[in-house]
Amino acid sequence: MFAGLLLAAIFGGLLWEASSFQYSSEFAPGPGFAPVWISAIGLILSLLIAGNAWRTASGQDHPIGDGTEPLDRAGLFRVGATLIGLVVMLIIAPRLGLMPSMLVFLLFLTLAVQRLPFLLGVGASVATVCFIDLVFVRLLGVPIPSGPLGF
Amino acid sequence: MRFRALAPAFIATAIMLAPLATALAQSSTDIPNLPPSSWKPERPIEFVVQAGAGGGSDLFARIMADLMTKEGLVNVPIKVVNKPGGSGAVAYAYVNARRGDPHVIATATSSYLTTPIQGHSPSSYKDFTNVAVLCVEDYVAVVRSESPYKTLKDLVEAARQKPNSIRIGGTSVGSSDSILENRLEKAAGIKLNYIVVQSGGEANAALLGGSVDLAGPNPSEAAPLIAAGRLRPIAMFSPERLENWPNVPTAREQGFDVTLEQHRGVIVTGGITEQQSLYWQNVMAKLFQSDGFKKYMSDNGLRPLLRIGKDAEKYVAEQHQYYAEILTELGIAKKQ
Amino acid sequence: MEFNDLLLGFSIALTPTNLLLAFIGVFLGTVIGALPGIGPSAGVALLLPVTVGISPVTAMIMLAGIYYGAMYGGTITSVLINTPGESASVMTTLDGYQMALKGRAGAALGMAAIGSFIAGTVSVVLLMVAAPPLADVAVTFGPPEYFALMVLGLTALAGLTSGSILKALVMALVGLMLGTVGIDLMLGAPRFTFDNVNLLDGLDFLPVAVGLFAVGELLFNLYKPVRAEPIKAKLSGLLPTRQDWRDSRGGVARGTLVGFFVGVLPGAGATIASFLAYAIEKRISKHPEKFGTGAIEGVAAPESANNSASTGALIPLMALGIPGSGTTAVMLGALTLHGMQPGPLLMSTHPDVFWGLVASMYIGNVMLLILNLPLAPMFASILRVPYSVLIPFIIGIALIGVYSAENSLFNVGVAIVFGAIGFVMRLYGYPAAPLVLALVLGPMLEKALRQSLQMSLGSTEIFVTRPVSAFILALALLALLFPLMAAMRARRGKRVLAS
Repeated sequence: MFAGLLLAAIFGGLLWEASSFQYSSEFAPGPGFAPVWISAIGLILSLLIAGNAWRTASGQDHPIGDGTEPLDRAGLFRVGATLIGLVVMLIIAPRLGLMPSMLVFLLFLTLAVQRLPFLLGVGASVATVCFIDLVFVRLLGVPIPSGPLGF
Repeated sequence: MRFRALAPAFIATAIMLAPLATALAQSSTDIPNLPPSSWKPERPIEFVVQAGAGGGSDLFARIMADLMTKEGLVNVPIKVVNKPGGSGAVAYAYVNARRGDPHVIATATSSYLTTPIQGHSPSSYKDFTNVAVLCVEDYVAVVRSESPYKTLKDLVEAARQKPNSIRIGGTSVGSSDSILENRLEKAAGIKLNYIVVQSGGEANAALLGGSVDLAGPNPSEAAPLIAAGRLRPIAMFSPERLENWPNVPTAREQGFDVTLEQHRGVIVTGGITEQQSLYWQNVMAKLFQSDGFKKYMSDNGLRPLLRIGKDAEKYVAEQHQYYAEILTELGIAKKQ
Repeated sequence: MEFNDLLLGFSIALTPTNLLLAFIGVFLGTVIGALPGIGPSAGVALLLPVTVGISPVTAMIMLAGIYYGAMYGGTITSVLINTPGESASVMTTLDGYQMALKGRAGAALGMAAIGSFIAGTVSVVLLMVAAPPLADVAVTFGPPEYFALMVLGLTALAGLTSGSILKALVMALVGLMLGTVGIDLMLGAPRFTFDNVNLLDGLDFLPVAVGLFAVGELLFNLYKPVRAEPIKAKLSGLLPTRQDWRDSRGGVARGTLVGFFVGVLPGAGATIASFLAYAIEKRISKHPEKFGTGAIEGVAAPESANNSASTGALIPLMALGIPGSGTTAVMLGALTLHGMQPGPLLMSTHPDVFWGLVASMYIGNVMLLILNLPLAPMFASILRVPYSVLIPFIIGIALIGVYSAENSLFNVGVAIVFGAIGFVMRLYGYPAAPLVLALVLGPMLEKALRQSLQMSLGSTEIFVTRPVSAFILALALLALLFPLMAAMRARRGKRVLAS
C-alpha cells in the first residue's frame, strides 16, 4: 500500500504540474496533452493498487521473497551506505578525477559494505579500475575528468 | 540508444541570418593583419563540440583539430570532446565553468545564440570570447520531383488559394526551418502548415514519402537527392545565386524577400587576456587560409566568410540582435 | 543485382586489411554491446575519429561491424547479469536471465548467437537484392503509420510480465511520463526540466536502464544475496540442445522477418523490433505461461529481430542517405567525413562502398558466430565467480559506460538515482521492463500523434483512411481484445464448473 500511495502522490504532483502546460495547439495536441492523460491514468491505477493492498492484507505490500518477511535493517543499511558512497564519488569526481574517485568508492564498497577479505577487496577494486582505464580511456579514447595527478 | 542527441546528422538545426549590411561593409574573405601573440598554450587543448559525433559541427571541429595539428598552427595535442544536449546548453555551460582557461575552445553555430534567447541556457554569447567566424551555410527550398510546383511562385500561389494546404517539414520551433517558414509566410502573405520533425534526415524521408510538400535543407544536404532526380530545388534563400547552383533562382528574384544563412565559428572561454585571444585569432586566420580548410568548405557546400577578433564580436552581436527580434515575433523568446 | 557486383564486393571485403578491420569491428562491437551503459551508437561515435585515415569502404566495414556486432554482444550481459547491454536487448533479460538462474546461460547465449547469425545472414540477402525498392516503401510510412505501430507496441506491453498486470501498467505509465521530460519538440516548451540544462533533451535511455537493471540488481544483492552460491552448471548444459533448437526455430524465423521490416523503417528501430518479436512469440505460443520463466524462444526471437533490424536500418541509409537511428546517423557522418555523398546515387557512383559492405557483412556474421559460440560457455563460466566479487566490477563498468555515451557526469547521477528507484521497485515487486520500453515508445508515440493531427489539421480520420495505418490499428485492436475474450471465456468456464 505504501508503494501505491507513493506512486499516486507522484502522479498527482505531475498532474498538477502538467495541467499548467498548454493543452492543445492550433490543430494538434499541445505539450500538455500527453502528460495530463498519462498522469491522470497513472493516478487512478496507483490508487487501485493501494486500494487492493488495503483490502487484501494488513495493509502492507509484501516485499519480494516469501511474502511475509519484514524489511531487513542491516540490508537497508548496506544499500544506503552504497548509495551515499556513489553520491560522494559523483561529487568528488570533477576535482579528484573520475578514476581515483571510483577507486576510493570501490574500496569503500568492497571493504566497508561488503566486508570482503582485505586482499580480495583491494584486488577486485584495482583490477576494475585498471580494466576501465585500459578499455575506455586508452582503447576507446573517452575523455574522462582527470584530477590534479593527471589521471 | 538515443536518437535525440545524435540526430542532427546534418546539423541543420541552427542558423544565422547575416544582415546584408555586414556583407557589404567588408569583403567576406579579407585576411586581417594581426600582430603576433606573446602567449602560447601550455597544456593540451580541449575542443568542445555542442553536438554528438558524426554531425556537421563534429565534422567541422575534427577537421579543424586535424588541420591545426598538421599545419603546425598549434603545438600541443588537441582533444575533441562532444558534449551534446540541450541545443548547445550543456556544452556552453561546461565551457563557461572553465572561464579564464584559454585551453578550452568550442564550436559555435546559431544555436549558440538562439538557445539562450529562448531562455534555455544559463550562458549567453557575452560570457565567451568570440574569436572567429569562418564560414556560412545557405538554405534551399526543395519539393518532390513529382510535385506540381516548379517554382516558389507556383507554390505560394497554391498556398494563397488554400491556406494550410501546403505542408512544410522542419525541426523544432526556433530552428532555421521555423524561421524560414515564418519569413516566407510574412513575405508572401500566406499560411503554411508546419510539421515538426526531429532531424534533417526525418524531413528528407517525410518529403520523399509525401508526408510533407516542402522543406528547407542546406544545399549540401539536399544535393544527393537532387542529383538523383528525387527532389527539385525551387528557390535559394541566399542574397545572390550560388556559384555551384547557377540554375536555381533566389527567393528574392521570385519576388519574396527571404534570405537565411547559418554561420560556423569558434569561441574561447571568457575572461582570457588580450594576448591569449590574439593567439587564437592568429591560429584561426591561418587555418582559414590553409588548403585543407578550403577543401573542407567546398566539399561541404560552405561559403567562406571570415570575421576575426573585434569583427567577429561585432558580427555575433548583430546576429544576436536579429535573432532576438525574430524569436520574439515567433513568441518563443524568453521575456527579459 | 548483378552477380558481378557481389564478386566485386567480395574482392574488396576479402583483402587482408578489410578482413582485419571487419574482425576488429565485430569484436569491438561484441565488447561494446556486452558492456552495460555503452551501446552501438556511442561505440560507433567513439570509433569514428579512428577511421579518419583509412579508406571509406574499410571505415564503413568496421563501423557496420560494430553496429551488428553490438547486437550479438548485448545478449551477454542481459542473460548473465540481468542488465541489457543496449536498448534492443531489454526483452532478452526477461527469459535469458531466468535461464541463467537455472544454469542454462550457455544454451541461451548459444541460441542467441545462432539466431543472430541466421537473422544477420538472411537480412543481408534482403539488403543485397532489394535495398532501393524497400527504401522507397519505407519512406511512405508517415506519422499516422508510426502512430499505429507504436500503439501496437503499447498493446503488447500489457502481456509482457508474468506478475501483476496492474503493476506492469503503472510502470509503463511511469515510463511514458519520464518520456515527456525535456523540451517539447513541437512548441519548444520545457516540461519537467526543473531549469536543469541536462534535462532539456529529456532523459537518456541508457542511464535509466543501467540504473534500474544493473545498479538496482546490485543494490538488491547487497540487501539480500540472491545468488550466494555460484551457479555450477554442467558442461553439457552449455550449448543449445536439439529440443532447444526445435523450440526456437519458429521464433528465429518470425523474429528475423519482423525485425528486418521494422528495422527498414527509418522511424522505428531495433528496440521496437525486438519488442514486437517477443510479443508475437508469446501470443502465438502454445504455452505462453512459460514466458518470463526461461523460455528459450523468448531469447531467440528478440535476439534474431534486433540483428536483422540493424541490417535493415542500413537500407534507408545506403539507398537514400536517410539515417533511421542514432547509430546510422553517426554512420552517415562517417560517409560525409570520407567525402562521400550519401544518397540514391551512392550505390552507382561508389559501388565499391555498397558491395564491399554487403560482402563484408556475410563474412562478419560468420566471424561473429565463430567468435560467439565458443565464447558462450566461456562467458557463462563468469557465473562461477562469486557474485560478491563481481559487484565492484559490474558497477564500475556500468557507470563508466553511462559516462562515455555523452561524456556526461549528470547521466552517471541519473543512473545512481534510478538504481535507488530500481531497488525499491524490486523490493515491492514492480517490473522494470515495461518502464524502459515505455520510455522508448512514449516520445515516438506522442510525436507521431501530434504530427499526424497537424498534417490532417486536427481530423482523426487520418488514422483510418490511410490503409496501412488502419491495418496496423486493427491488429492492435485484435491484440487487445484477444486476451480479454480468452480471459472471459476462461472465467465463464470456471463458473460453469463451479455451479
